[in-house]
Amino acid sequence: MTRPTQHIPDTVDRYLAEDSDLSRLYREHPREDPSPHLAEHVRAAARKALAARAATRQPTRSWFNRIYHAPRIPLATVASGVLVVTISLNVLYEKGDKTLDPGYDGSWQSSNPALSKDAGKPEAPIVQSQNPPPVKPSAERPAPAQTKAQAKPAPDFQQKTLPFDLNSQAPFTPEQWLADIQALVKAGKMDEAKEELRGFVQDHPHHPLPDTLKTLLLPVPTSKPTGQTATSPVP
Amino acid sequence: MSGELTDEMLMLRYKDGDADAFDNLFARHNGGVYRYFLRQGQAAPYAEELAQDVWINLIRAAANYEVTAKFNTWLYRIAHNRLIDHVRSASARPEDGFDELPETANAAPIPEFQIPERINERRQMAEHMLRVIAELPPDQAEVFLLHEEGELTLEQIAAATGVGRETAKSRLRYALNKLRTALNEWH
Repeated sequence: MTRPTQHIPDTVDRYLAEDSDLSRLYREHPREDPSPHLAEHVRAAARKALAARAATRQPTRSWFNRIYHAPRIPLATVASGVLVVTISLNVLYEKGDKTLDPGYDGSWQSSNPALSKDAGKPEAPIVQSQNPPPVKPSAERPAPAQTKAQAKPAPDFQQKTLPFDLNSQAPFTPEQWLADIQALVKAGKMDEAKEELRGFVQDHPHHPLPDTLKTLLLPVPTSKPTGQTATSPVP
Repeated sequence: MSGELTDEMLMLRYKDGDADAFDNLFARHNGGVYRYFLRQGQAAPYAEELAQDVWINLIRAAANYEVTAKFNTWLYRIAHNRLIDHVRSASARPEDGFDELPETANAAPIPEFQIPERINERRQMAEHMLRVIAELPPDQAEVFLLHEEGELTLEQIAAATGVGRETAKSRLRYALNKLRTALNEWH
């Protein structure tokens, strides 16, 4: 006859699951605590470690600091570039490239005595290259008055009324040419007026002439009139 | 506010720079870690030094802390490893060997005539229990203290001591039986 196996309850499971008598007895003993010195030392070490980590961490920059501490070279380069461009434009402007200015009316040349003096010469490189005669026929026309002026000093009025007057930036029209011729007539310089008029008729054969200038084209009677009238102008 | 947080949350806060979170965490476990060493035969100065080493190691590891286990399992694993190192070094130096039983006088003694008889008896039994714990084999005393001081479960005890669950349970069973036997004999 065998005795039934006695069930032994698992003391470990019961001890862990409930508040056992051993645990209660253990807690009844006054609990020793470490000295305050330990707490102070450990807490100080914890804060010191945090400070060390913060010091080695990359500092976070605000947007202002990022701009303020950004490398200065790009900004300096841009500033230099702007300065160079500004100076270059200013130099070009002062050298005479006034065509860059859309509001330019040409008055600066007449106000500049040196340039005005040079402008009187047809071969002036700057004026010729940059300000060609606006009216091509006038530029190509072999002006008789001008060739004559090369042989002798030109009168004052001619300096101002020549069709190649480079002081003037306005286009030289046939009407202006005729006005110049009429001015010669009024000045009593009939020979020069006739030469100018012949040149005008040659360049503008179909342009109507004023009556006062038509008479200049009439042939001068060399003998006593015989009733023959001049009906055709000199070609 | 931080008192409502779990140990793991407090540790993560400390990792992120909250020193007060560490203070709270330290206050929760400082005494337990200290007594874990004290009740395993270490004199109070040694127990304090060992406890300090545990916390310093924890502080150094805080930067890489991740919640992979319960905090107290991690904490007492550090304590377990530190105790093993201490015992090994003490074995190499006999003069620094295990100390005598911890002095229960760490707690202020109460004169005998001021203590009722029943309370006095329980107190004497508790003091005897501590002496028995100190006389237990180290592995058995450790698992008992890990549960009483660290509130570790059987699985956590196994993880902290680096043994299997059944080994931890067996050690705890031996410890409990010896304690009961010793207390019955004393009574």
